[in-house]
Amino acid sequence: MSDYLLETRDLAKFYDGGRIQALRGVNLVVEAGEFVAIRGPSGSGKSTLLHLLGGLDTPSRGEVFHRGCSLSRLADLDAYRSQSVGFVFQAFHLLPTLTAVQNVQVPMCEGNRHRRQRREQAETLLRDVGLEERLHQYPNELSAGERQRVAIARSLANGPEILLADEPTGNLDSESAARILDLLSAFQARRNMTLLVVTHDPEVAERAHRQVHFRNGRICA
Amino acid sequence: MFFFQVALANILRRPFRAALTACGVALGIGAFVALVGFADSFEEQWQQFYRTKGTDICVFRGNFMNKASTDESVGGKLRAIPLVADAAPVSFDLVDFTQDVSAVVQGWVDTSFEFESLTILQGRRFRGDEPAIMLGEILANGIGKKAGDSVEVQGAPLRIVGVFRAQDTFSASSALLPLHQLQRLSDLGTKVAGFDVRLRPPSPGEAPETHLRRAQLAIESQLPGLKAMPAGAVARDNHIVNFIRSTAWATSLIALFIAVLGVANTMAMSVFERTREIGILRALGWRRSRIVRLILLEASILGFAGGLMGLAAGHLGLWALASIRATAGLPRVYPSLAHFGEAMGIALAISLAAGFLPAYRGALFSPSAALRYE
Repeated sequence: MSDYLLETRDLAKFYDGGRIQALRGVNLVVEAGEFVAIRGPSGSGKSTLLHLLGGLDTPSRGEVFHRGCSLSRLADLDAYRSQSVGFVFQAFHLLPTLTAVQNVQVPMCEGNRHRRQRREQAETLLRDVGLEERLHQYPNELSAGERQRVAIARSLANGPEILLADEPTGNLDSESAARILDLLSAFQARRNMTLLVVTHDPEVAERAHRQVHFRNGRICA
Repeated sequence: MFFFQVALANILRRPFRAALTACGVALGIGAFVALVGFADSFEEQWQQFYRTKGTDICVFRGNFMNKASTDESVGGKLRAIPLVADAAPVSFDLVDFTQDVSAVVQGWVDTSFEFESLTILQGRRFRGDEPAIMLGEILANGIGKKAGDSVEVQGAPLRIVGVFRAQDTFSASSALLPLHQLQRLSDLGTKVAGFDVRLRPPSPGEAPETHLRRAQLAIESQLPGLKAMPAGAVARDNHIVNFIRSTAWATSLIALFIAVLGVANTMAMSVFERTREIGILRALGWRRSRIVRLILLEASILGFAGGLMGLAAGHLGLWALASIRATAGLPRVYPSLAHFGEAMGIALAISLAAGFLPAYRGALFSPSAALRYE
């Protein structure tokens, strides 16, 4: 039984019948409560790694372990995504037909919480990210920074132990990016979450406990 | 409730397309309500035609629509059967009263028990074989005649001796002639279409169905070659009702099939357009089954809205039919709860059927591939 929160062993992902090799045998360990920055040029396999760690995709070779248990042997991968992992995407990926408070409630649908509890929890999370005045705005009525804050609130909806953020500041101006970074760091510290951030931004990387560099689908440093 | 809100929001993002799809369902349901409702109403009127006259069994040879199937002398033999209280010979023909109005003329004897079901509104009943005619209320209004006027039947002028009200629309839209007058005018000789038989009450403790069956067997055994059918069965299973019912269902099914295609197309487009959003939902932990339920719920909402619109359109159609002289009074304009349930059940069933394949496809999306989808 592994002591690590997340571990990959010889992790590889190929596309197009093996012509595209996004990951080529990655071995990585992440401990609980760590803040890890994953860096590297575009196309080096950073986002693919995040998707495999989050159970969004299945590896072509190798395995991902969560608390020593292989994701490929998990009986309920949906529950892992819903309860253990939170995602923050570069493009926010909010549902355009729902308001901010409704977007935050979306991940809670799989739980047993009462409607009122869900709503109160969503409002609390939005207050935590400073959007108490924007609860009922639709994504197209929010600025990019506000949208990313809604996305962060949504990622925390089920109290995950792992937060996976894919270029969370990539679409933001420097002021908004700094605020998002502050929020992510604060939540990571306050909740003792494990935070893995894919980033090109050196400022983000500097805040991390550890940096992992990727090149051509492999860890190079 | 939140789940419903998500589904509703997805539908309302393209309100025009949703409205058109609902209209497609409404077309199918409207056709079903109007046509099948009309057929049901037609059958109901036919049932009432026999029920109000107090007819238990119809006796005829071959087909009950054959206007010269049996000789009228059979009546005496029928009345001699102990279970039979009375047997009224009946015949009919289709007659043009004006260029636009044709109606069924029934031939009755003046002692027929069936007169008990009629209310004389003007004039009187005919007597014996006098060359006279009685008009049903709807027919009299349709051709603008009253008691004391005259009409021409098969080239012969006849005096209208009375106008009557009947509890069923068929009778109220028809005319009555003395049987022998109709036989003469229609060259039927001594033939009649059949006999409407009223039975004596069942013995104490005997079930009405058993009594009816016993009388049927007694008539058929004593009058070989003749058919004795319960009046309810004649009304339900005759080929006119069957033809109208099957035509109504066939037309409705075509319209419902078009509705299925409409909903399926909309849901397939909707799922295709929302590939990335479905990926997001999967990434946030939604199970495949929840994705399927979401898409089916959206299809059901469209079906429900279309069903309600179709019910309204169908009843508007029935109301329009009721205002046409040829079908006046036949359709039942006020919907029954059963009819409402049937129509809404069909609307939901076709929506679910149409939504299933898109829902299944949506659920199969890999979250990662769906998130990369442009």
